[in-house]
Amino acid sequence: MRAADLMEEYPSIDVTASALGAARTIGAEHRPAVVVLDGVRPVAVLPSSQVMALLVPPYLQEDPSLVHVYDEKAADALARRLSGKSVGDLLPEERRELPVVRPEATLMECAAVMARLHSPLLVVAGKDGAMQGAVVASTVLERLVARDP
Amino acid sequence: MSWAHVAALVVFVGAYVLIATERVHRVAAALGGAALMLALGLTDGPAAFYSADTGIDWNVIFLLFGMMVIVGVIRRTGLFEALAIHAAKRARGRPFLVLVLLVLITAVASALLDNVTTVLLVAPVTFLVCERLALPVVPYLIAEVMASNIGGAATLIGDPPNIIIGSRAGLSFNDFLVNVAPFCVVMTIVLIGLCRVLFRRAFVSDPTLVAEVMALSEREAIRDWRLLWQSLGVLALVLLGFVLHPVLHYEPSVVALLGAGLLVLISTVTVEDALADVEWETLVFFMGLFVMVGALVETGIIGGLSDWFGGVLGGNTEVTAVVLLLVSMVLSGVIDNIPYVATMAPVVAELARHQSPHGHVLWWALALGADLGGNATAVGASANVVVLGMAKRYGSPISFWHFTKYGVLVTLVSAALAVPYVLVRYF
Repeated sequence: MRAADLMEEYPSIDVTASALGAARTIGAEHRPAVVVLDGVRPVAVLPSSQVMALLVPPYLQEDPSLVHVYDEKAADALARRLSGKSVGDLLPEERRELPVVRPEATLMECAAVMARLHSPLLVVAGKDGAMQGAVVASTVLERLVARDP
Repeated sequence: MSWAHVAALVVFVGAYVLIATERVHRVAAALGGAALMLALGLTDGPAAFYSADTGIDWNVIFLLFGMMVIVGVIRRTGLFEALAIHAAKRARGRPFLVLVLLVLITAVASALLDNVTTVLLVAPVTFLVCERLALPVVPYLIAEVMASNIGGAATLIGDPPNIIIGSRAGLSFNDFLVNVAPFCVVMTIVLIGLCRVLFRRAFVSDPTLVAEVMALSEREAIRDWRLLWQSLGVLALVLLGFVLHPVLHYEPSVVALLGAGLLVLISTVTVEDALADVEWETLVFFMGLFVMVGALVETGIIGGLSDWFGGVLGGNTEVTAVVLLLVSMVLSGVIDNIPYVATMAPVVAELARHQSPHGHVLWWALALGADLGGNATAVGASANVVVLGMAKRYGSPISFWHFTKYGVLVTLVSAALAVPYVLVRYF
């Protein structure tokens, strides 16, 4: 089984789009991440935790007692923290290796890349570098452990 | 000067330079220096590990350890966060009153616990309150750091240099309360006055935002009420143990260890969690310093330095106290006050022995100078470094010079008040 058989349509967003747009896409699509594109080429996988890290002030992240005090009514203030920022601003300065495979990659190749990069998501890109879809970890695991040993 | 003097000085100064310049980790520098002193025969095992005068001061180590355990448990309760939010609500969002109450909470907490823990817990709430009130957070953080250094000077357990001084000079918790705390109370009030002037532009608020602060519920910050009452009960017993030293005759280190043990025993906090907040690095740093300074005493360098000081200052206690106070303030502003006081403690012990009956004044001059001098620059005290690091991480960086321009002013005022305090009170 090849990546082309395993892949599915996956939400993506341009690197110049608004950060708030990325957060809303992840929320609306009920996905753990979104693929970031530069034109049609994938450049990064933006996990929801990365968006959350910018959304929640660091002083709240580091103080469990204080974050318990923070009322949800003030969530509007959190959303404001993303205003004026682009998707590119959410990406770490040191770019990590992109979890990407060709459509002809085997099931084991897909599993190996996911394991090596600790990524629950694999972007599938053609020879021209354009994104064709993505393989999610659950699909790979489903195929790998389909039968009892 | 013998080879032993030269060798001890080279090792000591080398380690000091490494600590001050942070070329290597301060623990590595102190331990490396201690190891070299032992290897070169400048001190020996019995002196380093068992001598009360020239070895590791276990009273200091175990007092620090016991208090670290107690503080580590208290910080899990959310008490500080609740207190700071309560203060902001009591101030009804009025910016200057918010600052006054946060300064007072920080000063009192720093006197009873330790400076770094206090600012670590108060600073995040300050960010939250300032964000809600659309106030600039930097003036509030600077004021809290300075309050922490001033408050920490007030008691035996407030600042590590005081623990060293208390142990080396045989001074009790009550001695610090009687001799240093009154000055710290005055200095805190003066600091508030200075903040009113220095940060006057930071006290402009939008009354419509007050509701944002009033909506916060301080009770939500308390994560474990049972643990809170247990912690406060044990802390009260420990403080009582310190105060009742003349009656009970328990060393402060014993009292702190008993308190730490009792708290771990009666609370649901696991031993692993209770020990997780112990700063082992700091404890080992102290051990290395004590061995190094002990070698200076063993080789006679400290004795010679004390004689030289005594000669230069003409054996005049007033002059010695003022010089010690001012020099300590300047040096503590640029180097870590822990190694400074560890080094100066045996020097002052010698000077105090020769200048009785007023010799004890020198210890107060050293304490005031070393503790309050920490306010002078951004690197003068651990609390400064910690808060500046937090401010940078949280997106409101405070530059070295921005802090230092306020720090120098507050330190100058501290000196201007501390000198007459020492002279009028003791001579």
